[in-house]
Amino acid sequence: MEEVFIPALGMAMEEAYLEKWIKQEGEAVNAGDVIALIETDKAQVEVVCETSGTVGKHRFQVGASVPVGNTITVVLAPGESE
Amino acid sequence: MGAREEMQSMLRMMMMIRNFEETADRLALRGKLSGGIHNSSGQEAVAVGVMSALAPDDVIATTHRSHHHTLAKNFSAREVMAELMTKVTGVSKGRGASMHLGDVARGHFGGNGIVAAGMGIGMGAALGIKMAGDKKVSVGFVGDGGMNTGRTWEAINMAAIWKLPLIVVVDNNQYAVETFINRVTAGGDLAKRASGFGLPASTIDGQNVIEVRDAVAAAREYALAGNGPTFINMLTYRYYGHNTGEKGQYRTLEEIEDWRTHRDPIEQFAARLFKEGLLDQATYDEMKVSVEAEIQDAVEFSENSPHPDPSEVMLNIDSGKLRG
Amino acid sequence: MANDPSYSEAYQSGIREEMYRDSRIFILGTDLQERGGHFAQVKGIAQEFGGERVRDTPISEAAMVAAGVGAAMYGMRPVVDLNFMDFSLGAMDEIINQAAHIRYMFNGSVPLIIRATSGIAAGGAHHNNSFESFFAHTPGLSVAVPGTPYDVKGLLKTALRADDPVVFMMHKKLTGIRGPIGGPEDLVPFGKARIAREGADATVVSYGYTLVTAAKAAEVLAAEGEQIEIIDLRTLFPMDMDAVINSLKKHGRMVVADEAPLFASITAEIAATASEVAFDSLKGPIVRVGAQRAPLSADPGQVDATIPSVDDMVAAIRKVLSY
Repeated sequence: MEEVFIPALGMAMEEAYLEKWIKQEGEAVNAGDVIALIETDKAQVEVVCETSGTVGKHRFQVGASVPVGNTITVVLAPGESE
Repeated sequence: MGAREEMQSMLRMMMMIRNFEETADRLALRGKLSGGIHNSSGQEAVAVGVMSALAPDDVIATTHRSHHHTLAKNFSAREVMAELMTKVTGVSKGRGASMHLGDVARGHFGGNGIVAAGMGIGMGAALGIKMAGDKKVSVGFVGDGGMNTGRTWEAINMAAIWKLPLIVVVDNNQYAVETFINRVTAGGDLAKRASGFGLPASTIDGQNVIEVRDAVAAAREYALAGNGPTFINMLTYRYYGHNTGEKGQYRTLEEIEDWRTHRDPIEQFAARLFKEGLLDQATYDEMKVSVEAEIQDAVEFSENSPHPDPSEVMLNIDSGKLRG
Repeated sequence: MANDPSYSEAYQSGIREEMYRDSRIFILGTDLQERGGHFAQVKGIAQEFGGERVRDTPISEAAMVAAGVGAAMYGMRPVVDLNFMDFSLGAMDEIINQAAHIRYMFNGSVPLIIRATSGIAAGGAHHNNSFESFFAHTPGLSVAVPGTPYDVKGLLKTALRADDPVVFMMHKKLTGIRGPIGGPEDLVPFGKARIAREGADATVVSYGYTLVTAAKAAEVLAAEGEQIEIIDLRTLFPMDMDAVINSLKKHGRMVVADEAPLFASITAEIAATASEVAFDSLKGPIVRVGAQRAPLSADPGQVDATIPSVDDMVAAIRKVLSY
């Protein structure tokens, strides 16, 4: 299971605005796919997964301000569950 | 140490640095390293080659990207990782983090947040060595970004006129944050520029740890014989962004992949050792396992260490001796 | 007295004695060996100690201070002589980011003196800045501003025996003043002010050449029967606020004076702190005397119009006496 999280991208970044879910719960994804779009104080950023599998539960709604480091969803390998 | 042990030890150090950096990068992305880090993955041969040619009490002074130099100078993964987490068990007792690793008493005159400032301090250390009459050298690390700031050439000129035992090592990963060195460097050839100061200057393959070691060993002998400084431009490459989480468009994925695939300092060196019969697969596999264990231990140690006490923020700003 | 050493000779005396005492001490800077520095501060020292310990440098302020920082970290005791304080701007990173911050992070010390002549005289905007406040503002730096030959020598000795970066500012217009100096073991501690003149009616807190202006003003007022106390701070960091407060408590009237632009100056720091800790002792507001916030003109008349005169000082003291 891969945790997909809000990355720390700068010295002063504390949270990000969850702008859009690109991949829906239960959707199949490949490594490198964009899972969500977030907005930091500097830029719009694509949150990408590193593994292939199925997207888990969305843990935050669009519009949420999510602190750096928080997991927003997971990518489940075949046979895994949350 | 025999040749086999020495080579394997150099290889393992490079592997340890790589694992350390990739682990640190993940922690930084998770927001667990305050301020982020400057990752040196890809530049291991510069650090390990240089330190392999130095004596333990030679001095180094370095840059904002200095985890690899620090680890190669035999600071433990524990104390470096703890410093990245600003823990009191860290190299700088938690006051420095990624950019300010240093311990003067152990000959590490500091990482530096200011471009090329560490190299200047390294020049000063070389002056100290000369004034004290000691048989040591000082290595001033500087990046390619430091090649176009005035203080660099002030320091090199001073080292040259005074024949100081300084080795200027350009840890040249070719990008100053996002600016490719050739875009901003008149004349193009850094070694040629340096040679104008009347000192030996060369450009070498910074991905070849043996070439690095031998060049520094020669520079060290030259300095110890009283001949003065040497300038060595070591061509290398960083695999990650300038800072944690950087999403740069300034170089192609193909370029990065090309360096990783064809010029990786660890893979090249391991292949060489295999070929020369100085390494076998079982030993290599064991190294990977022990490096992984070492870094995991460093993370655990660091996470379990305390931060410096907020009540001690005013301690050790000065010696107190001026007040009489 | 005419036979007493001058301010520059006091420096020579201090550096000479200390260089004999401690072989780790050496000096580097421009034009030191033959010329003896632009203010004769090291005249004859190179002839006595040789070119290794009195090193002539290129005009490379960043490298000069970096050389001092690195050598100090290594265990030597360098004195970097910039001649004019204004030239420190070419080495500001080395002084502030490096020298001042190393001890805090890197388990070592930086016993480094950065000596320069400062203060306002002639020559225009590039040789007459007043940088006292921003050096004193920087954590890790200490700042000496000797006002007498005795303090030049005594403060220098203290600095050379401690383990800290010190900015040692000697005033241009004091270069030729004469006075007694101490012997080899007469050290003047930092953070200990001196009562330059005793008086019971009001106090002027100052340092450097402004002490001379204050003394002339005190003479004017003495003729009218007013007894003015003058405190010479000697060092700006550490600062002897106790001496300031103790004097203030005698009579509740205080002027704080120097020749730096008033805005965000050392005098602002002193007035604010004194008001916070001794408000009840004040008979009226502390009055500050300083320069206008203008680059220094090369024209003598404009210089006089920029910095405080004796008349300005007298007027300020009269104001606090009126409370």
